[in-house]
Amino acid sequence: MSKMNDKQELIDKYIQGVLNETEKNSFDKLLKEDASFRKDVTFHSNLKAVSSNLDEADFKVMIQDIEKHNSRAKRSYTKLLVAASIAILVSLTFYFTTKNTYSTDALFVEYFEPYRNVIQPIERGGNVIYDEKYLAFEAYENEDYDKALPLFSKLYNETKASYYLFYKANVLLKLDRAEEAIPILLEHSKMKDTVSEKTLWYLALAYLKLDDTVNAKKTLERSILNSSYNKEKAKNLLNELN
Amino acid sequence: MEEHLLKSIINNNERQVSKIYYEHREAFLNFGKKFNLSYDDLVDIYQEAFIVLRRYAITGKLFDVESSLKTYLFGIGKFMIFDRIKELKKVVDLENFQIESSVEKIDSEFGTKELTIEQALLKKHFKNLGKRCKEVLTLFYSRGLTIDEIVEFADYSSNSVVRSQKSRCIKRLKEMIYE
Repeated sequence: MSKMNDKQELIDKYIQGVLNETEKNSFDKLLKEDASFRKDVTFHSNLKAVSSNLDEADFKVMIQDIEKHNSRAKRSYTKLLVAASIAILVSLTFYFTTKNTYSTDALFVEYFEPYRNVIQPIERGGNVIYDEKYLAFEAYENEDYDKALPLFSKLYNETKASYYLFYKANVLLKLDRAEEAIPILLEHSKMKDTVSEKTLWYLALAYLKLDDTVNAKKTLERSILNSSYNKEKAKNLLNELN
Repeated sequence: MEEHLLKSIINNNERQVSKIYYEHREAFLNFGKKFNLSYDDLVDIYQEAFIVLRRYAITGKLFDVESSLKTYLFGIGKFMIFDRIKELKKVVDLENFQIESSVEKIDSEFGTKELTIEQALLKKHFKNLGKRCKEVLTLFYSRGLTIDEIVEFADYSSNSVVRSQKSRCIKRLKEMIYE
């Protein structure tokens, strides 16, 4: 059996609670040392929670129906009335408290921060080579975005290193040009590099900036499910948009 | 405990569950009356007790328990009644509140968990899976059936068909997340 099948079998047994002592040891060892295994275990555990949740909801509806079908006459009318008035009260309160409590622009300002430079260390003196890459990231760190922008574009065209797209998009967001950042982030989201985990978060913010809450929410959901970057912030922001 | 009854509860077998439900319903409501709870409260508690019973059944622990389903169901229900009385701050004579020694302390909130945000999002995608996928994943993940049991329960031709169906469905679910 291949290694991958072994791992899948361990996860299956873990989910069903039937690991023996030896398997439990291998499982714990993998959990500690193998990041992709860990990710898979989380996925399957979540899947278990979700399917149990839906399955139980079905069961609940089923026994409620069983109760209803046989004792309809005894159902208390007052309880329904109380429930209805509570529902009205709740929805009214909800309406008055959530109406326009957020502006997408304010949320953007609250959550957006250009991603830090992790590509080119900026130091003075020594053996520093002041090439365009250095100058681009120096301008970026100094918040001289107008200078950084053409450099990132040029460097991407010349080298095709995908991280330039990501930083270019950050600059555009900072310069209030979210509509230009979006296609660049979408392109970057198909590539794999040291910053690709972060793309969806910034793409969501770009949509937010343009007041496109539908896509902002969708992208946040994707980011939460697929990336560990800014997960808590993403959850909070999603909550505020919902 | 009666295995065939537990299995029909685990597998949401409506006809069987309805039978069990009405077999004990009146006795439970009569028992509950003593504590001065409303009819609606007691019906709610009775239903909740079924849900918790099912959670225990799924863990497999109950198959080896000696007490009957009725004893266990009432055991869970009593703890729930007790909690409800405390919630309402009612004064009752606790002399009446003897719980048979054959029933261990049952956690009446066993398995009550809210979904995390990740899980809530996954749930949206799960709901969009095809019927056959939802079924095989539910049987395996929620109800803990073995592959062989799934073959039998859901009329598959062999366990390799179940295995490949299951991994296809998981692949599909992962694709939906990444899309």
